[in-house]
Parts: sequence; structure tokens; C-alpha cells
Amino acid sequence: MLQGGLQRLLEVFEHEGRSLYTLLTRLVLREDIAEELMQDLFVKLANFKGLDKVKNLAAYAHRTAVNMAIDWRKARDKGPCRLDDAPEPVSDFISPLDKLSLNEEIEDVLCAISQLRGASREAFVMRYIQQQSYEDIAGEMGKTPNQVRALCFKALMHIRYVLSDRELRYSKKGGRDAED
Amino acid sequence: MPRIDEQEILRRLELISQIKPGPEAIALAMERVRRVLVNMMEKKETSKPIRIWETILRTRISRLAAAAVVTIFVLLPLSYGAVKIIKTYFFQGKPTSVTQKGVTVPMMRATELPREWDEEQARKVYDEINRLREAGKCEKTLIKEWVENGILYRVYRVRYVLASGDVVTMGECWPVNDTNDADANRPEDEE
Repeated sequence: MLQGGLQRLLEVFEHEGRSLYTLLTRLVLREDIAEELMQDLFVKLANFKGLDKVKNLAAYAHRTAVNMAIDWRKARDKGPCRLDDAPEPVSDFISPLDKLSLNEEIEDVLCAISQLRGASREAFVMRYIQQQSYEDIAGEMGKTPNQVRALCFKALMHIRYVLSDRELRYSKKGGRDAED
Repeated sequence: MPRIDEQEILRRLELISQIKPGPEAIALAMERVRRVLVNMMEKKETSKPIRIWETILRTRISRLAAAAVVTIFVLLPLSYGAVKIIKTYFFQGKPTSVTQKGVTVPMMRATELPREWDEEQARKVYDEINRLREAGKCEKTLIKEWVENGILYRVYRVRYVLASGDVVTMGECWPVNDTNDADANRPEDEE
């Protein structure tokens, strides 16, 4: 990549670094992992040869960050579960049992988001994790607000289906365990 | 039929969207990445030439193209120059010196060989030229003269006609004395 591209990336980092780190933290639920991913993200972008051709570098960085966080989740879910993989509590104002339950609920939603693909995942994360308006998302994605609404609705339905299916399987498994 | 309703999912998403890393964590992460990016910028500045060679050597076609460019623009002129140097060397007279007004000064002779002549031919021609010179069978034209340390030097263009009919012209320079200057032709502007 040319020196100008790297300079441009540095500017994006200064403007968007905080929001990218926050986004990564929300998606992986761990600050240390988010920090690692943040570094990997910018190294990856700096070494990307086509960076000069990217018009909206900030949006591109956000998209890449989401993909990297989802990839990390998928890789973690495939591997053996370790004690230190447990997410950090998201709030200090609730009881330990509630925290555990809450974290599980959040983890389930994030797992379901991981199963989304392409534009619907992008739109859904921007809308519900980053809390952006439909108009802003439409501008970044080069679509109309109505198209973004449709994408988000479709993604929400898919997540609802995945979570319900998971709950159903848990309840069946729980029932069998109780019978045993 | 899904059992989890939309509101429940939105509630969970709302929780996720409220997660915020601590300011210290943000500052640490920012500083770490900033350092990495600045290092990368510095490295790119210093390693640019290597990158160019890496790019050239990456594919077979670019390697061949680079080799062709080096051959055409570097090796061929060099080899041509080397041949010229060798041939000139073989045709350059052995440096001799004469004592003139109590000072020893050099005498020089040099010319270029036709490119098609090999070393053996050049040596034969050089011997023949020496014989012709000793016999005074040459045509000298004064080109330039100057005085250095009180001694007059003259540069001549000397024309030898070989037995084969070939004509060789040599540049010769020596200090002036009565014997070697007697038969010199004056330059046109002095005549």
C-alpha cells in the first residue's frame, strides 16, 4: 500500500478508533480480545493493496471489524471451551445469577447474529448494535432506507427463528435429562 | 412457530448496544494500534526499494522482463565497452619516455582497432606499424601543441598504410625535438 493510503488509514483510526473498539467489545464481549482484534484489523487494512480504491474507508473498516469479530466467535465456538472464555459481566448492578443468565442471553443473540450473512448482517449490526439510523445505514451501504428496513426485518426474523429453535432444543434436552 | 418474541430479542439487543468498554481500555487499545501504525509507516518508508524488487521477483514473467532489461541496458553496453577497452589497450603503444632539457617526459601512442580484429591480428598490425614508423613511412598531421614545464609538446595524427592496404590512423603525442618533428605537416590553420 502507498504511504498516502497509510496516512488515510491513520486518520480513520483517529476518528473511528473508539467506535470500532466499542463495536468489537460488544460483539466479542471481552476487552482484551477486542484490543487484539482492533490491532489485527488495522494491520490487515494497512496491508490491503486495494485500500486506495476504497471510497468510504470508515465504513469499510467497520464492516471488516464486524467480520473479524464474527470469525473470532465462530472459531471460538468450534474449539474447546475454556474457563477464561467466559464473557466479562456487562453490568455491576445485578446479582451473580442474573449476570450469568444475562450473559447467556446475550451470547445466544450474538451467536445468532454470527449466522447471518452479507448485507443483512451488516445492516442488522449497524442498526441494533451500533444504533445507527436507517438513513445513515442506507447512505453507507448505498441502499434506500426502505431496503435497509427490509434487510433488518429479515435478519430479525432469522434471529428469532434461530433463538427459538435453540430454546426448543434446550428444553427437549432438559426434559430428557430430567427423565433420566 | 418461534417461541421467543420480537420484543425479547430487541431487549437483548438493547443490552448489547449499551455495553461500553472502560475509558482506560479504550486508551490502551488506541495507543497500541497507533504505535503499530506509526511503526508500519516508518518501515514502509525505509523498505521501499526492497518492496520494488519483491514485486519484480514475484512472478516468472516479471523476472524474465527484469533480466531482459538488465541484459539490454546494462550488460550489453558493458560488454561493448569492455571490448573497446581491450582493443584499445592492444593498440596502445608501450609508454616510453625521452629526456628533454634534463627532464624525463612520456611519449604516448594510441588508437582504436576495428571491432572485427582479434588480439592476434591487432598484435601483428601493431608490429607492422612500429616497423613503418621506424622506417619513417607514415604521414603526420599536427593537431595540437602546448608548453608544459618549459617543454613543447605536440599531438599528431599519424597515418600508416599497411601492407594489406588498410589504413590505420594513430594519435601520438611527444615532446618536440629536431628528429621527430622534422617531417610533421603543419595544421591547416598554421599553413
